[in-house]
Amino acid sequence: MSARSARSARSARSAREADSGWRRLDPRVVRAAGSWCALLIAGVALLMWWRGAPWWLQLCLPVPLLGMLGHEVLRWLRTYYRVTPERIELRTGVLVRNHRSVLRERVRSVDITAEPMHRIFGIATVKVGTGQQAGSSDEAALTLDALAAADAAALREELMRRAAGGGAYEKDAYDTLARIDWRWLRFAVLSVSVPLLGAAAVGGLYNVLDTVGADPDRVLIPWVWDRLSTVDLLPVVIVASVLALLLVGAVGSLGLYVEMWWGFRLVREAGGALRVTRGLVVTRSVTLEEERLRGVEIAEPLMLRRGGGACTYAVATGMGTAEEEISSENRSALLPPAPLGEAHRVAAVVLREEVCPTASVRLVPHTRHALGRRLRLAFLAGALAAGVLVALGVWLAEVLVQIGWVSGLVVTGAGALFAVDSFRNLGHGITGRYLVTRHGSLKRRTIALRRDGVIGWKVAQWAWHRRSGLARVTATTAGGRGAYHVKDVLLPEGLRFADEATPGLLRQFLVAGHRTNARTR
Amino acid sequence: MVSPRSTRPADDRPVLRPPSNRVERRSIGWWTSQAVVVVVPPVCVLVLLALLIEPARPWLLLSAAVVGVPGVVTMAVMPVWRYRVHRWETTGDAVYTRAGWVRQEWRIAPLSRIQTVDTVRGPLQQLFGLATVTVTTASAAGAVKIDGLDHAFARDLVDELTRVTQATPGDAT
Repeated sequence: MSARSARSARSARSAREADSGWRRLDPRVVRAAGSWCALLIAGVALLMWWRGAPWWLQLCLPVPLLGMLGHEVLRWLRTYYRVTPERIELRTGVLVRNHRSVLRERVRSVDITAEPMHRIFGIATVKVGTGQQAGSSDEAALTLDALAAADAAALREELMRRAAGGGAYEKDAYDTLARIDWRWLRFAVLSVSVPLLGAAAVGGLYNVLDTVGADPDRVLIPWVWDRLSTVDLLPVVIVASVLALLLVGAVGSLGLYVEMWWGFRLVREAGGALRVTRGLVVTRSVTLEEERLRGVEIAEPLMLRRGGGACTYAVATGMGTAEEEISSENRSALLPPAPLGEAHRVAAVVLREEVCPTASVRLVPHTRHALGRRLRLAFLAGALAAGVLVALGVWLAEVLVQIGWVSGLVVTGAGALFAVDSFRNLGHGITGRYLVTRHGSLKRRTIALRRDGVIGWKVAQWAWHRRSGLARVTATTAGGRGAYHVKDVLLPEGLRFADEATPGLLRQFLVAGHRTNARTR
Repeated sequence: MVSPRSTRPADDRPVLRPPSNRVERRSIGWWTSQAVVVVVPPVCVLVLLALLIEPARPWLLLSAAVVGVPGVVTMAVMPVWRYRVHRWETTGDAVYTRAGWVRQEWRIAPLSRIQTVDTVRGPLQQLFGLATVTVTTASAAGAVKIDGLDHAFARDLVDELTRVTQATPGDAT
């Protein structure tokens, strides 16, 4: 009897909610948050027991757990969302109430993320983006944290169907454009993250030892030092430990690659939207509406380039900014680090071109003025390093003078190598609907930008480059980083390029260059 | 400028012509006072400290010189230089500006891609009766700014640009 009345009460309440359309988040968010908190507290309790913390400190342990649980319950109680035919609305906030409403026709992206605890409890976070303004993607988004995994997928489909113009949208109609190939795993080790992760592992080990009370500063390190000083082959030990560090870093990089790109698949849905799904522990699904696409970027960090690999990114409005690019949360990645040929193939398919513009374009190399500028900068950097150290050496200690000379030479030499490489990488060109620009040495970027996606031009020139005519020509766009440069190009050539890329816009501001010197002609 | 080839804009060696309008001459005063506000207080503080703290006097005077000498040079050179560079123009379909001093920057934004137009008046600008017109587009790379306009004139310009851009369909991306 009581069970039935409870059920009828529940159905009455859900009917009332259905009337107004307001729905709650999935109640399992409380359990997921509580589990994280409980895990953390169990860890701290174990540590306290091991280190013999006083009993009153241990008694305080449940306080944060209760606080956290209380906050989550309150948050769940006070958060409602509603999807109407016109808009999607979210009412949230424990102390400060917040009502956010997004027009459904403005919805440009729907991302679904599930961290491990979410996956255990079968829920997922939905982020709705409007793609209004690059650089403020976070503010524009409406976040539902979290819904049942099935509800999240259904919501994504409902919103994207609307964005695709309704009508012919079938749930499982899509083309698979790319999927993970585990032979690409070799590119994981061609990354700066290898030494960084190796160093981080050492730092992490130190911290763990310190926390469990092994006192590395006074016990472990002197002990290791003593043992090392008895060994004759110190160079061997140093080389071996560096190798071990790199090995640890490589294993870490491989692990990261597997975590990020597990089950990677790039599909085009029937409505034209592109969807990337990936992730082993944290699963991510990013949907990108095709009309937001402005081009592609092929990025080749130095080591990856030497290994024949490349990263592929979409240049799309509202897909985040430069600082997001390095993070694992990068939403514009179209492909894991993969062979250059595969990057070009996928970029071409994504742009619906036969050949990727970054591959088909004939790039115009830049003149030697650009090389001269880069070499001068390298020399200046070397001179500065040497100058500062030598000046300090004359004043403080003789040895600094020697170090100064050597480091000046090293900086100049390395700088010159980078100068030559980055000069060789410079180029710009136009092919079909795209303008293409390439620059960079430590990270060579080749960007293909749709010519009709250019929303302005910027030309910058230093006073001391007026005679040589060296300048930077920048196309601004609503997508990606917002500005893409043609670096160190001679001004007439850069202007001709810009004029050809966007016919009619620049022409009215151009005059014949009879005032420039004929020397470089 | 009267070479016969200047009638053919798409010459094989094109250059950007200067935008047609200068900014207000009062801007020189505004830029000078901006530089004064940035440079003078730290130099004064350093000199004052040098007078008070005997042992550190050479070092404090040295740092005052390191800040002050380039500062004074900037104060002397920058405003007039800027006044010669800063120019602007609006045509039927674009906003075109030139700005900067050591580093010059030309910017072109088509009217059809403009999202917002507004004026900014800092305290110093108000003192000189000036305003900056800021034209934003959907790009994250920054807005097109026209510094140093008479503030009443700037208001009219904003009204005009807003009217023109509102007449253009599309979401300007």
